[in-house]
Amino acid sequence: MAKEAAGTAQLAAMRGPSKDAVEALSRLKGEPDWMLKRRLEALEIYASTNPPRWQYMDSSKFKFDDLAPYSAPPAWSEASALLPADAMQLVDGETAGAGYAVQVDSEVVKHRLDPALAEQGVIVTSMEEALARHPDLVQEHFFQGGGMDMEEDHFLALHAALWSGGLFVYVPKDVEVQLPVYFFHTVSNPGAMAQPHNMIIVDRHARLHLYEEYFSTTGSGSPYSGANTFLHLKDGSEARVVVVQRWGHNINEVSKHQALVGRDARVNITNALIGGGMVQKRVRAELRGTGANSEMHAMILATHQQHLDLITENRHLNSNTHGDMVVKQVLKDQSKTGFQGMIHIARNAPQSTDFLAADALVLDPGASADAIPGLEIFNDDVQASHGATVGQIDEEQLFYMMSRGIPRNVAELAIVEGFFMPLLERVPEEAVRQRLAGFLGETVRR
Amino acid sequence: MAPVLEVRNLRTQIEGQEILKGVNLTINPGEFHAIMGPNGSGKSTLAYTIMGHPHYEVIGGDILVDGESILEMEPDERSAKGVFLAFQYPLEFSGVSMANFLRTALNARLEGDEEVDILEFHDQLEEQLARIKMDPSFANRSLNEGFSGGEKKKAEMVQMAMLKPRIAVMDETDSGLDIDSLQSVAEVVNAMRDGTFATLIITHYKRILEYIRPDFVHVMVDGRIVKSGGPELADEIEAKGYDWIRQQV
Repeated sequence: MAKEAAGTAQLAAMRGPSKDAVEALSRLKGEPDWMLKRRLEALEIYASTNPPRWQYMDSSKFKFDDLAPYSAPPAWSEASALLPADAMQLVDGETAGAGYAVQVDSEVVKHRLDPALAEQGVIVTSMEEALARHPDLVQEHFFQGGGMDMEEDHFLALHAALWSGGLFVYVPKDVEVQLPVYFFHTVSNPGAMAQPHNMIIVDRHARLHLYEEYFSTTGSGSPYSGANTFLHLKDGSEARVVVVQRWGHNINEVSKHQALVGRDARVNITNALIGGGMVQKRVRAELRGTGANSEMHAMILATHQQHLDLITENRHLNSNTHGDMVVKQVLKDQSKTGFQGMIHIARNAPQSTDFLAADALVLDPGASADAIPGLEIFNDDVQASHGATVGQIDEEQLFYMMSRGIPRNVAELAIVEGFFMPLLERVPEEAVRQRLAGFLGETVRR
Repeated sequence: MAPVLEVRNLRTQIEGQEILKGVNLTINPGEFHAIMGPNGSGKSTLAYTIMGHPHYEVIGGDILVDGESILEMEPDERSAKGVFLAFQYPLEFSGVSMANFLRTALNARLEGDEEVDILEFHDQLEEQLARIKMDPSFANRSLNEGFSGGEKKKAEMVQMAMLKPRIAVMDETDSGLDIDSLQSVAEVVNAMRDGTFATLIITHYKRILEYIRPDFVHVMVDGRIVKSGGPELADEIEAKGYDWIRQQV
């Protein structure tokens, strides 16, 4: 205990990414050598590469020299007060789902799994515990067991070097987890980095619903979130993921969701990007097995001075793979968004299809939305199309609603809710859908 | 008692072009008025101006509801005063159901956080849909999305019946309606006649006026009301055409 306390104190005093920080972190966690080795390799890559050039955002604005690389969470009594009240209900109450993990700052502080599911071999725990109890599983899937891909970017390398906490889920063959597994993350330290590594493995013909929520109230400081989620979908498996990011506006984030999709497997990722000051979010699906399927839906709601970028990417690497990307953005005040939707269809991916539809609604003249759809198609026997629109609220629609006695701001809200509705309707779990609709509504009203 | 709607020497322009060139009209509570006129005479412009459409600029005259000028009021305020416009081309609202739309409108009329009783509301809506012979499922469909022309016009009538306005301007409600639908619409409008409810029925043809009998008929030509009379004026127009009116004036 004393050793741990000393370890966390040492880390808390450090600033920025460094070899000392990586070693101290790995030592604190008592990790196997291979993990330390991987962390150090990643740090090398981070240190020897420049921040990438992004289309709409200046990556050099993300600075880590003043941030502690790790922050130990406060005691549960203090930590639980930071979580939204209704999240605590979801976590503790009747609708506890299949299981959950709650992370505060750099550690998972609480996790639970329905015992009936544990009996079937399902695992829901923290990454640290998974590393200790199921090292082979983790090693096989951690950045897919290989070295860090050189094309992986600078920020992912930082994550691989200093990740801490995160959810580990394993669903065995043929097991269907009916209720959602929840992951909540909040931060209490405004001067630190928080980089959970979520590893989600859905074995053959298994099924999983996952709900991730990132929450904080806007405060001082410029903490950094480098949360990354890696989904491994084996043949015939299915995962539905809903991610709600509603950080306070003082948090900056570079984050990625990546899904590796096997033969006849399906992934559906719905992203709600609501919070953060500067956010660069990537969602990428690699359709590796024939018949693989990826649906990417995103709702972006930008207000005040936020700058939110989203890059979605479906890579078709095998025949008969199918994708669908639907992105809807609403912007207010002086916010800015940049969206890129990439559909990549490789030479050996005949009979594949993918459709991208991206629409943006700009509510105030000071806001601006950029969208670039991209197609890279290397096979003729495919169907792919894209469309992007950027517009304002239809004045005629506003007039019609106001002529019925609906005040302007209420009419705008109704139109915005109607705009997001087709995506909201596709979220299968009622509780999750309501929660998300609530966040969107309250954000627009602000 | 003040007229429910009074239009005094109203002049309106859109994109720099003057459309209404001094319209005068007085509607007392309980009266059904009709305005007929050729295309381009300014009938729809009058409707939009009364409702307060932002693109229509009033450059002279006034519009009063119950003796109070409404020129400075936003459309939602005018609605609160009892003005309703049944649109000629009702808009589609993806993702907003007819029920939610109407409930939002009715809640807007209540004080503070008060809301209409949900069960009562649904009963009333079902009743209104039935009276105009629309399937109850329309309540949960996105408003006007995929509705036929006739269904859109009927949906306007359902909204009118639920909102209970004091003066309803009906902008060419009859266009695109078959006889059956026209009869259903007329039934709803006529049933609202109670000595207080007033309408301004804008139409190109006489046909709707055979189902909804107006107390007064006005003819609009070139941005002005040029002739007024009783219901028989509609018959005269039908027989002699708008050119005859033009010659008269």
